[in-house]
Amino acid sequence: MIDKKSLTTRRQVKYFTDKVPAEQIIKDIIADTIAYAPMKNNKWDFILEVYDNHWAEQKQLLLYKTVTKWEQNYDTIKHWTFSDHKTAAADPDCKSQQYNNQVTAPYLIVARKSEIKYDYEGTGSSETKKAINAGSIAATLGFVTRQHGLYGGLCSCYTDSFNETIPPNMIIDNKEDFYFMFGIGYVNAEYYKKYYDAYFPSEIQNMDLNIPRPTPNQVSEWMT
Amino acid sequence: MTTNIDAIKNRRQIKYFTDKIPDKVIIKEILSDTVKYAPVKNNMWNFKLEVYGPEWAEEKQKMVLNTICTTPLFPLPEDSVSTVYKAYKEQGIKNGYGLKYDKNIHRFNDQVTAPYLIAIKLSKNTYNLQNESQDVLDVAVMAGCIGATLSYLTQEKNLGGGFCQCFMGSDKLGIEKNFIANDKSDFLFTYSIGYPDKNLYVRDPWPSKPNVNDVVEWMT
Repeated sequence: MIDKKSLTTRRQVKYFTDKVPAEQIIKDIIADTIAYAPMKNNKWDFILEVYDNHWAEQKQLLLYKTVTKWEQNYDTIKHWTFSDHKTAAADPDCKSQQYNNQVTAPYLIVARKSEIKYDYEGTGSSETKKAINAGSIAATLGFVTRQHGLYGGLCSCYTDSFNETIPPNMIIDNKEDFYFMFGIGYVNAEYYKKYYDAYFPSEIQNMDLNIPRPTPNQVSEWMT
Repeated sequence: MTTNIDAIKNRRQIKYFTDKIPDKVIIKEILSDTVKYAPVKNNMWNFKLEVYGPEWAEEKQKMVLNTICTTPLFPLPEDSVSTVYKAYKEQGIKNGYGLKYDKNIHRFNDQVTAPYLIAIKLSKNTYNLQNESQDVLDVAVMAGCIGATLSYLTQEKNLGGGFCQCFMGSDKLGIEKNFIANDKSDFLFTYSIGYPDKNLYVRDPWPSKPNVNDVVEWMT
């Protein structure tokens, strides 16, 4: 049974416990997403790659390439060694730099652009339409994951700007290759409580209170 | 909130709506919940939602011409778009719009004439507190997140909804401009809301959904 609770209690989760969800739950989440997400003419111009907990080492390497808002600190970070990235990523207070830890979740799903398409009509799609379809899958994955009692975190941050110091990984090697990544697991409530001083799951959708959600009037216009 | 609604499971793409107008308050709730609950990266909106209510019926009727369906093998007709639209409606009245529809006549996306039409358009920095730049395809992914969420919350209110991404500019088609959308450059998609017309609605013969193995690869 899918209920509205799965929509209203979905949260963007970045930190997960080591507990690995049952493989069957992940398969159910993916099957439900494919069955129910709205997709224009049922066209798929991407595939969902599933990386389980056996890929932990590669996910850890991928983590360093998901460094956020590096542009404003580029002059500093460009001098960092790989060890500096490791230290920064391990800092729970994120004092120097933030990374998208959700890519290290027990399960990571990558929506990868693909030449192998599911396009029954063979009529193709524009790049914008493909991306809109990918977004529909991303939202549905988030809601269905919650429906199955797990949490997830989306990520589309990735940079090759520090390739000289950050080693390659076997999951992503080009920003242009994918639409989004989605980590799935059990939320690390202790971590959130300790370092974010916030009860989890919070009534507030986004954990970063510096960037509140917009009000409807800020993003929609009732045309008269 | 614990109401069992099966909103995700029961959602369907609706193309034909009755004239009955949903309560404006319900539409506002759908929009408000969508803004509140949809996943949007860093709460960054480089697009906007424009809401066109029932009083825009005439403009929606003009806009339906912009939604002509073409493919590489079935390109724009030589006849005027309004002539082709007339043929489409005559066929629909005679044979029905679903499985029995004549494939040699261009189709149009009637859902844009629904009582409520939400146009999702590119709009830089609509809400971008951190002044972050964003690639247009990333914006489209976020708009897709909004689209899916809108559709589930519409279903949750027992209303029907329909997407439309088929859109051609008015100048290209040589048609009269409408007050909703004329330019493809900022158009992402529309989402229509109303009560499904069960008498008119016959499921179009869209390709079936893929099997899991068609679109998923379990990496080993």
